[in-house]
Amino acid sequence: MTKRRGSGISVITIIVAMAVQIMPIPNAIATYLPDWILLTAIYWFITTPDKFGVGYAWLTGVFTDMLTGHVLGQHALSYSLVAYLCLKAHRRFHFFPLPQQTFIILILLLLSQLLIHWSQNSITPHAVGWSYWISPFIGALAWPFIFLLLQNFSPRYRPYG
Amino acid sequence: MAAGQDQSRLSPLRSLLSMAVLPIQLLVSFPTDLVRNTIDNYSSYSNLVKENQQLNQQQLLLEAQILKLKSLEKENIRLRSFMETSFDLGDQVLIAELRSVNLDPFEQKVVINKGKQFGVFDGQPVINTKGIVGQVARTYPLNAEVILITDPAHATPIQINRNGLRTLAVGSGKTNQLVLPYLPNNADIKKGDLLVTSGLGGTFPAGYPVAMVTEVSPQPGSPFSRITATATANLDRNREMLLIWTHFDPVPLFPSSGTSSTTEHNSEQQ
Repeated sequence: MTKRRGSGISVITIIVAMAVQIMPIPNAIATYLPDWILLTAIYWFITTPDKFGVGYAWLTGVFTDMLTGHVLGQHALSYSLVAYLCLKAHRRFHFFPLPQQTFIILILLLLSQLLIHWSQNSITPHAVGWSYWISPFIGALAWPFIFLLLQNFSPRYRPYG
Repeated sequence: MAAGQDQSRLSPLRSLLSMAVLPIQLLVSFPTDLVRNTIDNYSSYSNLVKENQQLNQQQLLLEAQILKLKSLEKENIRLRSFMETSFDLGDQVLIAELRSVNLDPFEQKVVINKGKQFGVFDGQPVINTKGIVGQVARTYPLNAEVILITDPAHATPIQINRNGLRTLAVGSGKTNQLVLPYLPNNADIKKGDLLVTSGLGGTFPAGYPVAMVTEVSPQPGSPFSRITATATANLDRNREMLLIWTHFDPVPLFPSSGTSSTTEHNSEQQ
């Protein structure tokens, strides 16, 4: 049952996250919004690591690059690395309470943001202000909600009811 | 631009992927399109009549102006051919509309709904009725990405309309704001000066308005003054844009069969 439900719903949630990511929101607000695609993907890396690994992250990243007008491979690289770390740590992750999870998510999001900044900077000068580093913090704050929301769709993994 | 370097080899893949992500983009822009269509459908009859009248009047005015412009253009071409300089012959345009999708909020880029199927090409200038918007950065089969003149990675070759002083206007990354980093402290530039494209660089045709100077503050310690300008083309407001094809073929110098017939021939080619 898990096999049949799990993969379909995860692809759908990722597509919804992609739609949310490119929603027409004024830049003044969009600057602070987190990377919804990565947050959703992290949930699936952690809860169903047997199905969604680095390859899946890479594919999601390529699509994200395409959607957000980046050079192909920028998000693919950062998502793959985040996926690798998630797969390494997913067993421990399950024992953490939500606040501690939030902290780890913050580190993962900051790492992804840093990798994208580096790769972008190697292509063209990527002049970003301090506001560039705000969105991972907001993403980390959004994690508990995303976690509880996605849990409704996740067939197997329900440690918090 | 550096983004162009890897573009040539991966462009078939990008085209393919663009078709894959198109449904998501359409899904996202669907609600705004729906609202606009509904407003169009249900706007009242009297409003439409009023708008129609206004447009008719405007059309009359513009046509009268164009009459004058055409004779001026011909005169200009004639004069330039005497002066042995080349002159571009006029521009062809295609109207494109924004897709309601956001790309990276830290980059000033937008997606338009015309792509390779309309012959849109990389580096094509994009304008609207108020001035230069940007240039096409990537083309896909059914849409294209436009990098705005306010993107930090974009520089527009400009000249000051008042005195012809040439320089570059670099994007600031903020909405509608440009900076002119390469003018010395004693340059002849004032607040309120209109900046137009200089035509250097070959991307933008000459003479289109780009920005209005909003602040000039000489920096005593540094060789260059700090100058900011606001784009004339309300980059965050307008949905419609014009893609332009410029004819860079110069007018033949010293035409053998009389200038008037050559210009006739050239205007037919447009």
